Amino acid sequence: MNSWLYLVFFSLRRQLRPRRLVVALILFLVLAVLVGTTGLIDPWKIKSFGRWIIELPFCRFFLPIITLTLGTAVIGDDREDKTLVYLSTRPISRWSLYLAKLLGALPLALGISLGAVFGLCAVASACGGLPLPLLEVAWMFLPTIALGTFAYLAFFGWLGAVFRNATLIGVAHVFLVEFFMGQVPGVLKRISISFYVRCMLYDAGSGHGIKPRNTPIFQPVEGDDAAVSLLAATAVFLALGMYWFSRREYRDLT
Amino acid sequence: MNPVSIRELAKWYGEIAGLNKVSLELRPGITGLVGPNGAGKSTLMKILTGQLKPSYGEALIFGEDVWKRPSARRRLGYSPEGDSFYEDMSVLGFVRAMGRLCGLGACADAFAREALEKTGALEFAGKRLKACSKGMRQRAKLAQALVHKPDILVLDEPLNGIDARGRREMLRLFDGLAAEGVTILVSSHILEEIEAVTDQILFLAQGNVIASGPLAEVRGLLKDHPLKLLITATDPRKLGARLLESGLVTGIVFKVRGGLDEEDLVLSVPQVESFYRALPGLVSELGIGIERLVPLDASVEAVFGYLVGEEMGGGA
Repeated sequence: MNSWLYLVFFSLRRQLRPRRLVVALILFLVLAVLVGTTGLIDPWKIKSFGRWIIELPFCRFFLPIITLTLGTAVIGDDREDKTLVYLSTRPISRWSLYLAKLLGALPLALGISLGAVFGLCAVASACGGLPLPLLEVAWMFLPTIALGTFAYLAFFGWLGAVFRNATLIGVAHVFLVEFFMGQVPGVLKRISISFYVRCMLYDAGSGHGIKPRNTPIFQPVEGDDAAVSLLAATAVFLALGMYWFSRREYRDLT
Repeated sequence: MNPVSIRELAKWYGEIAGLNKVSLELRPGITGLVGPNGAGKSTLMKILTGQLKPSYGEALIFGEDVWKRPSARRRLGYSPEGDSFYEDMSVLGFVRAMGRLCGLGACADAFAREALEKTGALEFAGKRLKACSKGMRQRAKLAQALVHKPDILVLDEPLNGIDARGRREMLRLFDGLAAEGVTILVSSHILEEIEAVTDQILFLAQGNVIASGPLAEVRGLLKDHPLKLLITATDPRKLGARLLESGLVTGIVFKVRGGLDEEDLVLSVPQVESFYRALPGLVSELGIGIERLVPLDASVEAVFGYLVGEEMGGGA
């Protein structure tokens, strides 16, 4: 247990690579500048802020890209650096090794995604002013973003364990499944994580008019159902990743 | 119970056999692993360290299956051949982290410093791995294998990139660990290095153990290849004639040494023990002095050459 806990900490420290954090910071700054300048021209309302910042660029681009970067690196970094040998020869079972590495990435993923949402809300409040207190606005979005982060991280972690070129596959997934399929009418979009994130968002912001542009076409599920779906997706991809990793030999992973 | 028991271990890569039902036991001390590329050395080491799953059979560390029971790896240290590291870590940080991953708690720092001192890496403990030379990195790799004081050490080409002085230090370290009761399995492509540190050799070829045991015993079993002995004697012709007459040697070659009148004898000795028993009496009977007696083909390299030749069906 001692060594497993240390592996969680070790993995977190390994994730703190400046290049990765710079990518997140740049993306956040682009969004923050957009929020700030727009807010100065035309003050934000909860509905427009939720729709044009949180839903569109944040949930469907920023969140998947950040979790993709961190999730595929869970195993991908060690695979690329050929350092998995040092971990796989320690007295730690394979499945728990995978779990520790994924848990090591979680605080950073949550910190970036929740921090970025909070930061954007703060910028929107400061530039143009939102009609609600900052904490109240942020709290409206944070549970959705947290569950979305769990699900995306588990999915991209699994992708990173299975495929050598997980980043490329992940980018293709983000654009094809999470972004474009989200626009397609019908139930096909329900295979994307972003669908459930948006459903939770619409549910949380329904009191402020945050809703799908065309509800009959979008066919949202209830917020609670969306939350359960995101938790279920997290559990399934986590279990798949642990199972897959526990069955792999070192030569398959390098 | 032997520290390492390997039972009918087989590993298949598709249709290619990496290991073919290998069984062996390793006892405390140093065992050298010798074999050409593709012989199965790396496969054996990777199975033994829990990186590969056997296709058949089992590899046991103190009675525990190393693939099924990760806790067995607590008693195992492994120094891989590859030169991969967590490059941005310091040498001390890396070794300490590996110790903590083996379950060392607060004592990890002290253990890491001890391991670095043993491997001669303490003087550059604060240096980042990416700034270290090949030799320094090799020492760091050895230190991470030693940090948790394992009972079994598996070392894949541990002396690569280390200078001659460093190699001598490493060999002394291995010797010391073996004397403390550690079981060490070491592979090296420089066969003299293995020979310098142990006479317990495991010869692998084409996924099979073709011979194992003390080198002299293995050499003695090669009946088709009489031992070649070089003798410098005061009267080589007289000695050679007497030896042929006695039947102790099956062939003699006279080898010119220095001036034209100086010759060495190269003898083909089929039964080494009988030869060594009879030689002193024979020499004193003839009144001949022996200045030098050197086996020419009893080294690991020579024995390995004969074994591989036989394995290929040709003989050397």
